Amino acid sequence: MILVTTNDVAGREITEVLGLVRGSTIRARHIGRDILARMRGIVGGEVSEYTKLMGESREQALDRLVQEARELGADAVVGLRFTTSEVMDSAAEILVYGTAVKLR
Amino acid sequence: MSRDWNELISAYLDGELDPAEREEFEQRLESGDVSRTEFEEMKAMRGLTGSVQLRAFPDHEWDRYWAKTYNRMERNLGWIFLSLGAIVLVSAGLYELLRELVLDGASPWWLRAATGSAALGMGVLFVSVLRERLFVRKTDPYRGIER
Repeated sequence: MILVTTNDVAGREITEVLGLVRGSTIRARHIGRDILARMRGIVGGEVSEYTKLMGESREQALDRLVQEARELGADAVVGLRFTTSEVMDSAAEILVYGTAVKLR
Repeated sequence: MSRDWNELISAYLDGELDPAEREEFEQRLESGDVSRTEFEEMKAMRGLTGSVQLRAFPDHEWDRYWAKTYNRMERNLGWIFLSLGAIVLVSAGLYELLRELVLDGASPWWLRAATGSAALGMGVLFVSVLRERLFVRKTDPYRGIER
């Protein structure tokens, strides 16, 4: 499965547009990690607890998008975009979406 | 008793055979009873493994290793103290709540029953969520992602 942020795939021709595909997730870390993250907020530096949280969320959302694209029989997803929003405190919501296409 | 001389290649190369066995082994190697290819391959492998030199672990890696170890020990110690304190405080709170529910004659029975029911419900829900989390954690494919 080819995933690109561009509107086409270099060297390939889009033969069919299958439609919008997306994947999303909201993940949180346990209270212990939240406590450590708050402490890091006091002293500064990278909040590795939330870096990990965002990484996990991004990969899970991407996997869900790929799964949806596969079910449509897509060869690639073009115009891939990530968005995030705040649904609850200390949680990461990631939505990734794009257009599933067939290639030649 | 017949011997599998191919199995003795390693012993021959390691000098573990006695003089009589060595002589016989060499004769069998010449006659082809012992696979020449296998013998040469094993000899080459011994030469290769013998030429490998272990590099000293860099000082900065040791520093990183010990920093990580101290960091983990500090964190664990902190969590132990924090957990002990939290367990005592939560237990004291629950004890006070139960005492109030049982002994507080000023509140009507239905209010005490409702408070107890709500507290019990919260407890059951929390245990349910915790159990689900522990079950999912075992197979969570995203656990290993660091960033």
